[in-house]
Amino acid sequence: MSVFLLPSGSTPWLLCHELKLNIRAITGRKGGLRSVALVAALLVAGTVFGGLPVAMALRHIPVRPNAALIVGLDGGLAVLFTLILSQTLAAAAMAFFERGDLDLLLSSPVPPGRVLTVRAASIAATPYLFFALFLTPVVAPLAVLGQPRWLAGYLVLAAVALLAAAAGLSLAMGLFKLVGPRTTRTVGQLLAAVIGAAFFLISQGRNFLPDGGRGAFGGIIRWTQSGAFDPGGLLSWPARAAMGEPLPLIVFVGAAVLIFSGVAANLGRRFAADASAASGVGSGPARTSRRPVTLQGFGDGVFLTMMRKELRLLARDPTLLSQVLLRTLYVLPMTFLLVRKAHHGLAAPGLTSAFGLAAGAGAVSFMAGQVAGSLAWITISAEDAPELLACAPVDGGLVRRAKLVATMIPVAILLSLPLGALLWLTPWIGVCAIFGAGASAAASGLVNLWFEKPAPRKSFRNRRGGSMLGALAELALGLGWGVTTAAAGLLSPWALLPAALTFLAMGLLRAFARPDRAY
Amino acid sequence: MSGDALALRGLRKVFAKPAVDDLDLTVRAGEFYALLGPNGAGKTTTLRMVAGLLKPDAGSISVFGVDALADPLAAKRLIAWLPDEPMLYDKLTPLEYLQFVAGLWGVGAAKARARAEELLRWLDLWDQRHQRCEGFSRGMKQKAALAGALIHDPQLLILDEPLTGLDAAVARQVKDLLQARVQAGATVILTTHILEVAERLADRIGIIQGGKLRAEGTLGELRARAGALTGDKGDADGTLEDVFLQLVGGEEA
Repeated sequence: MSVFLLPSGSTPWLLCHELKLNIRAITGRKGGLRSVALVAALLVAGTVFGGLPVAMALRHIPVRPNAALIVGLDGGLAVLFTLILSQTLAAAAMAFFERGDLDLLLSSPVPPGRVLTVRAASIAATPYLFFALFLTPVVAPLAVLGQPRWLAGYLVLAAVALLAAAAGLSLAMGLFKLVGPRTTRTVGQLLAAVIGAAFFLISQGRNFLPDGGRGAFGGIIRWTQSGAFDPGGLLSWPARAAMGEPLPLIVFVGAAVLIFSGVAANLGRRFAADASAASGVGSGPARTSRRPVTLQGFGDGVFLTMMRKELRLLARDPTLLSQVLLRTLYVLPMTFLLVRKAHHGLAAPGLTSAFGLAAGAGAVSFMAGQVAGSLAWITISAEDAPELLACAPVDGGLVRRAKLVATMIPVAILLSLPLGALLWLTPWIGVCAIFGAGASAAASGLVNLWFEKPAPRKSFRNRRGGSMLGALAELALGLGWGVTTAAAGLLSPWALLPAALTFLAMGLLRAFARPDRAY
Repeated sequence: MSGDALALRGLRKVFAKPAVDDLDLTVRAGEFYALLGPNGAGKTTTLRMVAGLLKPDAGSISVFGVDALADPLAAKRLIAWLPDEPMLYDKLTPLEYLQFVAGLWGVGAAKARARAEELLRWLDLWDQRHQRCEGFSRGMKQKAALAGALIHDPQLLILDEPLTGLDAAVARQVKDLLQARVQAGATVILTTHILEVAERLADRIGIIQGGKLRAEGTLGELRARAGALTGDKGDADGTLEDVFLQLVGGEEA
């Protein structure tokens, strides 16, 4: 029996074990009490300042399903599904490679089917817990203040998480068959990024669709008004389930459980076979460098050698690629808009003033900092062989400078299109954007140097847990440079204020930083 | 250059308790030296300090006469460090890895090219030179790391448990390579728990325990020392294992 008095080897016991590991992976090494306290504080604050006022306002308003409410709730559930699917697909793809204790579990006398079902359930449970935290500040006060039907939200969220896990596992298995074990992780991560950004991209359709999205959005609006979302229709059931209507709730949750169970049962054996294929060396031809180096490539100096190695590793990191792609997707609509502007002149639909362009320049600067932060963390903190660098006869400062420069190159390439468009449209704003993006990227890189904390590359997703102050600093400096860029673009003397504050913040951070350096 | 490849004087490193305690150790140039000791004896800590990975609390480290604490970069140029866990990049190919390491040690292009090809062929990795290390077995990874350690032709090669997890064939290759390096004039310091390796390869053996050097010498000298300790002067054929256990105490070893 475990500490929770659950029978050892039982499904709940295994699930507790999985959840414990997942939560520890999120909270990091120092997780524990500090993370719990932080989450509890956020929950209380969210409830008091957000959920409670909303609940007070809604407590006497009867909830009656109508088309508008149903469209809103269904839309919210669809967005939620894509967000969770993005996580479950990434988790399912990674499950093949980061098997961790799967070998131990499958070699134990616990039935393999149970092990794999629990692993699949844990893929659903982690995002469920995350989103349940957002639900609680609103639902809990509503339930206490006389509308307990909204507690159904927890069940509907669980159903959506199960459906997303089933879809994520199915997609991962499909990819496995389609592109093979080695590519599944990369494609899975990239696909997850696209799915995660899907609704944002759709919502920005007016910025890049040929007619400003009028045709597509008009069609969607007509569909929602066609009666398909009336309370009696089939499409109303998920929304009515979320509103706590017993029959839709039972049907929706029951269907989700059935679909998840079916997928878990059917894919269980394939999961085991595919995962073992992925972990074996003989699962296919070894990955060969696309442009193999020749024996002529030797002899460069330390700086160039270092940069080349970092750029190679950045280009070969699927998790990083998906993160960068995700950020690229968010900046894509604005890029389309700026490029269209550059092509058609300021008369093109969309931004109508220099203010808009300056705001775009600020956004590009902010984005530069964010992307550079991810890349810098990988190159600086997640060095695979710190001991090799430590025992090499090279100056650590030179190594770090080379790493920093290496992170700037992909950022420059990534943002060259929107920066070029801004430069073409209004050269002054373009120049501001180039300097702002450079400053923002450099600031993020420096923050990663000042708050360096060695970590394995696979902790990339949880890198912000390594140094909360560093993560906040990265965000704040990005915002600072973004605002400075936008204000400078407008030739506002107020640009000096955020610039000065940002410099001051950087100085303070530099003074208080205590990097944990291995080389 | 001094006649000693490595000279440690009064070396001390304390974590929760002293890991290395006032250690004096001398390894002569061109020598194959095996450093033995029970788990937690301070072998790895000592070698990590020599490689520049740990800063000693006290004492001095001299590598071929170069003060490794005063001029660490000059000392590092002479050393190669190979731990039991290969210092590799999974996403690089062996050739890319060697290119990187050669760049770090500032090896000239022509020499690096020739050494890379020679080492990869010698270690049977030439056919895999364009494959990423992520798909390699442990033995192949260790061989790639060994090639990296040798690309700059180090005068002092320090290996911490280099044979851990290797199959017999790969282990043989590594041992042959180390012997060849010594014959070519390099100095090799190696820690191992496989006493037969030390017995067969090492010119001299040092036994460290509790952060201090307990005994040092050739196998014959150690046998004599162990015999003197136990009062048995006739055990001239005792294996290194017998000698080791006598010197460090069976239970602790």
